[in-house]
Amino acid sequence: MNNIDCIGQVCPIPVIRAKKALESLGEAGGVVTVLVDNDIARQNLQKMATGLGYQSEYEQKENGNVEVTIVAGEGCAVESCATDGDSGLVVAIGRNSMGEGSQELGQILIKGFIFALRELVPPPTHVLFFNSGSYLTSSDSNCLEDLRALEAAGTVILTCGTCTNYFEITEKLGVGEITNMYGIVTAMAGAKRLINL
Amino acid sequence: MSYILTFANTHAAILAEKALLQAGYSVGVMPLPSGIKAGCGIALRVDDYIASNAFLKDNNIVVAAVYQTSANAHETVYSEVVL
Repeated sequence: MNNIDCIGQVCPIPVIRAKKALESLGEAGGVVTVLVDNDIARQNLQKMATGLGYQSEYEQKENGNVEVTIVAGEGCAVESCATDGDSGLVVAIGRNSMGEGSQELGQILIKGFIFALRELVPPPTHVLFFNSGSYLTSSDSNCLEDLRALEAAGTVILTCGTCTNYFEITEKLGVGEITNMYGIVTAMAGAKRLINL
Repeated sequence: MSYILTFANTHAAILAEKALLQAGYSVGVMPLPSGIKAGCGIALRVDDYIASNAFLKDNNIVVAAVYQTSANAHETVYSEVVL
């Protein structure tokens, strides 16, 4: 078993170290445990594990630390996890407005765009939010109902944690989960088609 | 939200969304569904079209038409509500 102590280390370091440990296990698989001291790192580790097709669980330890256990086996790779209904479509939204010109117009257009995403069958696999796009997943966003509907349809909604931190809206996340740049790059790299807004 | 409001132009739709949000109404945005004709390609989704419509009227924002949405097995159906 691989035990990794990531106390005092911020994302993405725990994810990188865990990934390296998992890779070193090779095809035989095994168990990797990672000790972290914040919930964002815990979430990112579990997302990384799920993305790789591995099972994970966590246990709350003393002093607010969390031990994440990832079991790597002959689990499916990311590709083989895809279902027949998987669109492979990733939508990346880097701002809270659509198009150039009028900000006011752009802000209402993007709400219509997000509503229209609900109509896609199958739905996008991921919708990624970063920079001012992060405001769209915030609790006072007017898109939450549509984004929750997408999430219920199976779309993974991810918002850049660096961005929510910059805008001081991390605690106001209203839908989906916080991710880091590795999560964003992994989702983009795994896309069959990418809409970059 | 099972009713949609349409507008004669985009400015009215933008003004209406802002005013309804500020007043605490439940409101969503959607592109105008195909099959509905209006001057503006943006429609607003509301729960309470009577109160929303009255509020907009008080604020001198003109709603072009109201539609009720319902779904059958194949598609969403929009039926115009006579105001």
